[in-house]
Order: sequence, then C-alpha cells, then structure tokens
Amino acid sequence: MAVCLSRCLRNGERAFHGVASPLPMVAILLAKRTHAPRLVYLNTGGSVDPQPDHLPASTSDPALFERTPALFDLIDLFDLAARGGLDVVFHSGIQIDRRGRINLSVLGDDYRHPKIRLPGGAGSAHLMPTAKRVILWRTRHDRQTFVESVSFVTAQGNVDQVVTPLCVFKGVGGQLELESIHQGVTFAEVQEATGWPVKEAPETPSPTSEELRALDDVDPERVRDVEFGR
Amino acid sequence: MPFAGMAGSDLPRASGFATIRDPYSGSEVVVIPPIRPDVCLIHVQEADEEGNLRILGSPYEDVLLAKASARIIATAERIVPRERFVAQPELTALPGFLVDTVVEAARGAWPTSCAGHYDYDKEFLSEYATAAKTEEGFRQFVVNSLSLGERARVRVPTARP
Repeated sequence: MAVCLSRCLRNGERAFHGVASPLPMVAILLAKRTHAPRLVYLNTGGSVDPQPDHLPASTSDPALFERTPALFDLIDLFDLAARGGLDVVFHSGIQIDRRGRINLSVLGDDYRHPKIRLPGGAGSAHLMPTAKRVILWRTRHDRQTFVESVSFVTAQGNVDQVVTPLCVFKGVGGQLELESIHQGVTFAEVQEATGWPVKEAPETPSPTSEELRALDDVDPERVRDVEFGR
Repeated sequence: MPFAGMAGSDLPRASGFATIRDPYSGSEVVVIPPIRPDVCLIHVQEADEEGNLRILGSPYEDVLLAKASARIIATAERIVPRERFVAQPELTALPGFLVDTVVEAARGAWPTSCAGHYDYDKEFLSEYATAAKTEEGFRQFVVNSLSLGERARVRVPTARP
C-alpha cells in the first residue's frame, strides 16, 4: 500500500497529509526518494520538506520538524488550497462511497443524535473540493467501509485514486472504478468486499526491488505497520 | 470577500464595492473582489538557493502580497546557506516552494530603504520627483540614472482610464 500510494504522487507537486496518516507520510518520503525528488512535503504540524531521523507514529509529531527550512501552518495550508495552490491531499473515511465521498462524522440518521459519533472531518470538507487531486486510503476494505452511498457526506470532491489492501480505485467522471487488483487477490474477493458492482481490472504492478529498498531506508522501523494493527 | 469596517464611508460606492446582508447579524457588510496579481516583486535581506526568504525587520504586508500573487520574484541582499534557515525555520517569511525566482542583488531595494542595511536615498528621490514632472524629464532621468545610454527607448506608460 505504501508503494501504491507513493506512485500516486508526481514530481514537483505539493502534497499534504493530516493527523493519523502514517502511510501517506511514508508514501511521500518514499516518493521523494524515488521518482519525485522535487515533491513538496507539507503536513498538519506545519513543516516543509522535513527530514526526520526516526519516523514518528503520530503524524503531527515534532520529529516532522527536523531539518525543515520554513514553517507552514494550517492557516497557510488552508489558504494555499483555497487559492488553488495545493496539488494533492490525503484523506480517508470510516465510510467511502462509489462517488468517492467520505463520512467521518456520524452513523445513523440524526446528526444531533447519531447511532455512532465518528471522529469528525477535520479539514476534509474544505480541502477535498479545493485540492487539485485527492488520494484516499483505507486499510480496511469491506462492505461496511466501501458502501454504495455514505449515510452522511463529510467531504467530497477531486478523488483521483483510492488505495486499499485489495486494490486501487481510480476516480473517473465522479465515480470510483477499479484500476488494478493487488497480487494474490481475486476479482471475486474485491467484488465481495465492495458495496457496488465493479469491473475487472489488471494486476497492480508489484513493488520493484528499488522501491522496496527505498521503503526500508525511509521506514526501517516499520512505523507504517501501526495502521494494520501490528 | 466580506470586509469589516467602511461603515458610513463613501469609498465603497466610489470604488464600486457591493454590500450584502450578513445572514447571522442582519447588518450590511461590504464585500470586495480578491486581488490576484500575476507577479510579486519582493526584496528581502536573506534568501537561500531554494528560494526560502527571510525578512529581517518589518515585513509590512509583503508576505500577504506575495502569497496573493501567481508568481513571486525575489531579490535578496545576500544568498545564505540553507542550513541557516534550517537552524531557525520560524524566521522564514516565505518558504521556497512558493518562490519562483531568486536574484542576489545587494542594494536591490535602492533608492528605497532596506532595514538594517541602508536608508532611502532622499537626494535621488528628490531629483526624480522634480524630473518626473514632465514626460521628457522622466525619460531623461531614467536614461541617465540607469546608465541606459541615449539610444535606449523608454516608454512612458499612459495613465489608465
């Protein structure tokens, strides 16, 4: 997943991740080390292109300020997005639907009295419609998560790719279409875990040995595993 | 953009600014169209090769003007190593990724001032103010003061309608 997410990024783009985002953090650092050395790395803490000695599990940790030449806080970041200057933002959702809309707010019909109150959307309602491209990721891929229609739209807009442990979706004309299926996963498994009908897709290209070596350099302590409950 | 203040002033009407009713308080609020310059030219005391900029002294509104602009071209009294920015990132006024071009230009703010380096050149500005009273005077002044030589063509911009 880390390699898939890093491949979503292009050289020279300005990419941002928020809190609780170890995989995007690793993906951005990996992309900078491989195909996108001029990628601009922005984050919730407010640093620019930090070079941390040890990756933190918290993605707003002071470690992400190591060797930053400037500060760029969330006020700056939201302004940047509002004036069309943010290329990529990473988001996720408790629910993600066929149209790439995310729900981080409530489950149940009544916003004031929900069945379950979710953590909240943070800046997603502002950033998804204003960033040029949105990359979603979720380590859990099942029918509770990938639904036909979210029960509450916390945020929507500009979804380009969605990376899960099973596959990659591509945003095409406002709909998520299957782009590729990871090695060792069957089409039937993806369909079974997805709440809308999907079409066959080729296999995700395996990580190259160069990518895996770079990944090990970037995240030798496997901080990314925290997203998989390990 | 809604804009606090201006109540009772003739300026909004003279400038063509609209007002809208604030749906929360019910009061009239002036709204102004955003200004998005194509290019911002900014002079700073220190820059590095990535375009990180430091303003040592009052930043005035330079940072806001720069961020509003589509492109930023900076001149700097001196280019310093990136490590200087890394040591104190909180002093960086503009991060390099926003800056398109950096030019090392000592005394680049002349004939205006640069805090900590030089004051404005009063004599030069007075000469300019006198010369610029006529179009020919302005032309001659630009040719002479910028050492352009007599063959240089100086176009005097016409006032906008």
